[in-house]
Amino acid sequence: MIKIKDLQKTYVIHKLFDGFNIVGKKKVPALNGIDLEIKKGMITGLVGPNGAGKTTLMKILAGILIADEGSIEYLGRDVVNTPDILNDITGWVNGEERSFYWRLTLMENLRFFMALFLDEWRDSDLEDMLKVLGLEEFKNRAFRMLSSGMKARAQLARALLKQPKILILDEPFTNIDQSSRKVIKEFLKKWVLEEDRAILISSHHIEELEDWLDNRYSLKDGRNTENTKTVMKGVEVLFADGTKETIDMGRISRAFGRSDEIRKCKLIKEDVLDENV
Amino acid sequence: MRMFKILPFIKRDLKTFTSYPVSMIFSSLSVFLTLFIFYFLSKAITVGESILAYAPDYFSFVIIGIAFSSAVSTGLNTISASVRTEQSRGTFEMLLSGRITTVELLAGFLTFDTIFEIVRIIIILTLAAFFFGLKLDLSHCWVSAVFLIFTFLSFLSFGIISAGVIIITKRGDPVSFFINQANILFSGVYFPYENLPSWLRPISYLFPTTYALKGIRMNLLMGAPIGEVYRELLILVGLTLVMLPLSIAFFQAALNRSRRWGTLSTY
Repeated sequence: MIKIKDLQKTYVIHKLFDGFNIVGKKKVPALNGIDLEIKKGMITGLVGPNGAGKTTLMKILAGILIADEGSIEYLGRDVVNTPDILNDITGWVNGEERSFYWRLTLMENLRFFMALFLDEWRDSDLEDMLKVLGLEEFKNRAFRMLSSGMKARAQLARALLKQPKILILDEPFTNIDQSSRKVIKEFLKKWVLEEDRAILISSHHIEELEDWLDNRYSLKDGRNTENTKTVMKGVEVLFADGTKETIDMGRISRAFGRSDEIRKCKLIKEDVLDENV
Repeated sequence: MRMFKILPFIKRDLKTFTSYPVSMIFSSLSVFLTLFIFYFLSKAITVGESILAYAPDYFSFVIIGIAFSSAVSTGLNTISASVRTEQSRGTFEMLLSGRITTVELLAGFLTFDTIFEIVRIIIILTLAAFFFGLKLDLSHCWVSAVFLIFTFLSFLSFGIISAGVIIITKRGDPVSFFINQANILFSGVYFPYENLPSWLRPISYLFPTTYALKGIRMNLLMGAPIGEVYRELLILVGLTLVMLPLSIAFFQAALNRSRRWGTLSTY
């Protein structure tokens, strides 16, 4: 869906003086040649320490920043220098709860952004989204009065309501409780399979999302370090009589023969090098 | 059909404004205080020929100056203040990720404050007329309205440039502040520019407000029709036609530059 090749970005900080030294320009490299692919119907994870370049990459894809070098291929066209196109096709959760108007209610905020994002939209779409994300009863509450978890969900609602092709999620689950995370993850898993859609997500707790990701890229110092994908190897099944059995994915139907006796299942996963990347 | 996206900004700003009721009450009361201050000041001042050329008394002279120069300040300061507020709120990048044009963004920042300022001018003039004896000649008042529009637009150009400077340098307010103060000094807000020393007077001709206030005072206070003030109006229109497109192009270039530098949301 999107192919990124040799993407480079250096921040230029204009500072005339640093103490008594004349500095002028200071260059801070952020991306040093990133290659990755966001595939249709897949959830792609970005892993890396602080300063690895995850947020810079996401901002470029959201059309907020322009890269210095490299290409971003979308529908066979290089869109690296056309932030408007990237803006159009992406919905961005920047993990920043301040990016709303705190004097307005949740509903007023979402209505405002919808009017900017779309030429036509309906209040009923908005209401449906609030229901899915468990925000319906808080819709008329001033944004400043919402909890951090609700604010995080509001960001997700705003990005989804933009009807994007690619959902870019920068630390989307921070402050969201476990049960809501589960509901949201299930919803997004279904969402990504509809039409031409994809999700790119970064999180410091990526290990919690392993079973949810379709592939994963590791970044460090603005470079890819490894390109892995998570593959389901099999299922570890605990039966009612206390016996355990490991069944690989090819013979999974065996376990369903005794499905009424299954007490617990655990997916066995393995990270393998993605040769297609 | 695609609508010009300005209404969401007006709704947002109105809701934000009304969510601060105390500020709303005090800003309304301040109008009354301003009128009182200048009413009593005018009682203590003996007016000279230079004021009588534009107005029957100092109160009329200064109220027109104050009312219309605040519109100028709105044009000058609103955009840069909005950019700064959106950056510090953390909403600026999110606004730019919307499907809106630069002109829509600028108009969105501006419209509520402009409407608010027009209402404020009408309230100041109405209160001054009803309670403080201001005599307005409204027979050609549309001329003043046209003056106001073009004065506002010409100063808006400076405001847009100032906002562009803020986006790049993160500091632009001193520019607006300097222009604002110089405007008050040179363009005849509180006293006629003719009272300035002759070597300073040419600077007055660089400020659009000089022509605007002259035309508006002659029109609203002396009943001058368009035929007597068209020169001042033509200068304003000319300034606007040159400056406004240039300022929008500068703002767009500043946005693009900031996107490349990665400094859109920093302040």
